[in-house]
Amino acid sequence: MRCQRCKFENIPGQKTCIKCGSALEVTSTAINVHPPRMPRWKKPFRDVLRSMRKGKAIPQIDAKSHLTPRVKEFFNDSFLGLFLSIIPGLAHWTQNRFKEIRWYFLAWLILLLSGVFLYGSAAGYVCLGLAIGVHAAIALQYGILKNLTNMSEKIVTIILVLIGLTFLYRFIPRIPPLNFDGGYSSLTIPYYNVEAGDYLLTRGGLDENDLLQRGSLVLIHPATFRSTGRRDVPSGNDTVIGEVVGLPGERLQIVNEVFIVDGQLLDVEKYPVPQWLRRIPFSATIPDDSYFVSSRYNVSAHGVRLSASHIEQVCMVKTTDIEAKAFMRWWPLLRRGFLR
Amino acid sequence: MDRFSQLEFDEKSPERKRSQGEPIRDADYFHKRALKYWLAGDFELALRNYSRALEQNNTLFEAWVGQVLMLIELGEYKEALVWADKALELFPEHPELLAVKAVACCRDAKLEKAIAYSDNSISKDNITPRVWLARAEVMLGRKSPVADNCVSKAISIAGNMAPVIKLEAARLLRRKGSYSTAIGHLNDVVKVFPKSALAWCELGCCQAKLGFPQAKATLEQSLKLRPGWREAETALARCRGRGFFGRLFGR
Repeated sequence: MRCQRCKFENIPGQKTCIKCGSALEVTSTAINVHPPRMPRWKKPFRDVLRSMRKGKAIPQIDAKSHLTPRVKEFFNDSFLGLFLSIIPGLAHWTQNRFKEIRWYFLAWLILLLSGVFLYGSAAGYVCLGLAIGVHAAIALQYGILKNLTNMSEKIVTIILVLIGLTFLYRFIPRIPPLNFDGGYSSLTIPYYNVEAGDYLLTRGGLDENDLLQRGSLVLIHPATFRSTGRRDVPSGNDTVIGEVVGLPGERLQIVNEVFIVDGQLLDVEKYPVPQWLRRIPFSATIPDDSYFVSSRYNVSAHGVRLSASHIEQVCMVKTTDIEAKAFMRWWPLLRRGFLR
Repeated sequence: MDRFSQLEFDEKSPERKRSQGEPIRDADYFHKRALKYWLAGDFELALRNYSRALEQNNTLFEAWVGQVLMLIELGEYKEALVWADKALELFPEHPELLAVKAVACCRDAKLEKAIAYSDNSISKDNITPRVWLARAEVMLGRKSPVADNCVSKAISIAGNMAPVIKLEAARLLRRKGSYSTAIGHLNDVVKVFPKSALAWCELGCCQAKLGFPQAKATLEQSLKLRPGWREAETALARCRGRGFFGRLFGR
């Protein structure tokens, strides 16, 4: 009996090779000779996992091998790594270390996408917050924490990185040409299927030459009505969504809870008069560089006695103070869609 | 019936044609069939035939290795590892089984494990050509220039198995982009296995990658040997300059 592995000539009748232990003859006990098979549905999952293991979500280039030692040292610098980590994983990728943070990267991507999808809701903010946290973890994992020995320095660094990334996430969507922003509607406008509290997505980049139409929903900054000189009038909101009711040069009146523009009654469904504007009789001509923007402004919350001049100061918004124009209902999800 | 077929002569009586009858379906028969299907690029049928060979004789080492290799070809790496472990129970520490485990790990993007298995396999006695091929694959995974030497070593010790090993080496080289070297080996393979659709297809793919005009004819030859083979058809379509949308809309 010759062993198939080591070619050792064994004694006849031997079941396993004396030298190496390999099986020599057909065993009496039944051995399953049919291999296990992979169910088809597993294939795509395994493929994805494999490609992640390979780290080829971003193609690997051996950047290090072509660099001089000095440049290598520069690239190894943890501060540069921190800077490159503005794009999560970029610093690791340049050093062929992407594999270390591949799961973090995936978690960041999922959280970011979920956060953007649910933006305007509490869950969306939580997801974005977590995405910022994971992003910070990726940036810090690169090496900056290893270089710091003092615990207080580490804590300060972590806080600074978190603050920096929060600003980054806040302002990146506003960078042209995206210019995305948003705000909560304070009005219920049945015509646009908008209710108070809905989050509307806006797009900025309006200049003085852009003419707004009556009924446009716009994002205005509180600076607009701080100029009234009465600090107790506006609410503490950063930005407010309002509806353009009066165009430059038009004469606007509020009579019997209805807007009247140049003697014509406006549709109440399309141009509802906010509660606080209903109490005061108002009539004015809109200046050429301004629009009349109707919004809630939370003026009544302070119990201030308002006059027509206050309304004029608050609602006449200059073209330059209009930041963006709303184009989409982003939240709630069920009513997500473009505005008419 | 022939008029003179029954005439008797002084010399030997004319030999009658013997009917060949059914071949003996033993382990060797199924093993040969498995090899035939592998050469045709039908890994699923090859796997089944290896299993049938093992039903006849479960000590047939080549069939165990063949099964693991076919599982790897079919992209079932986890299953291949499980099966290699099972084979290792029968053939403990066999370098070839360790080598195929290295291949499975390497293709499943588990390079550290692949290196460990390859190191282990190469440290054993009685190293087979496949051990060197596995080493070459692992080295290519590490982008090491040693890979070419491993391939040469595998071919040099292959002996009778040289054409098979050359085919495997050529496939490995094609996967890694060394088309010209692969063509050199494949030209030798098609001389020995002119009916191997796999060899022709691999040759055609390499030729197509290098822009050789004979690539089309080579791939057609492959399709002629195994009509309707999807891989060859895809390669031929690509060779004919039909892009994805062209194939999608049948243009």
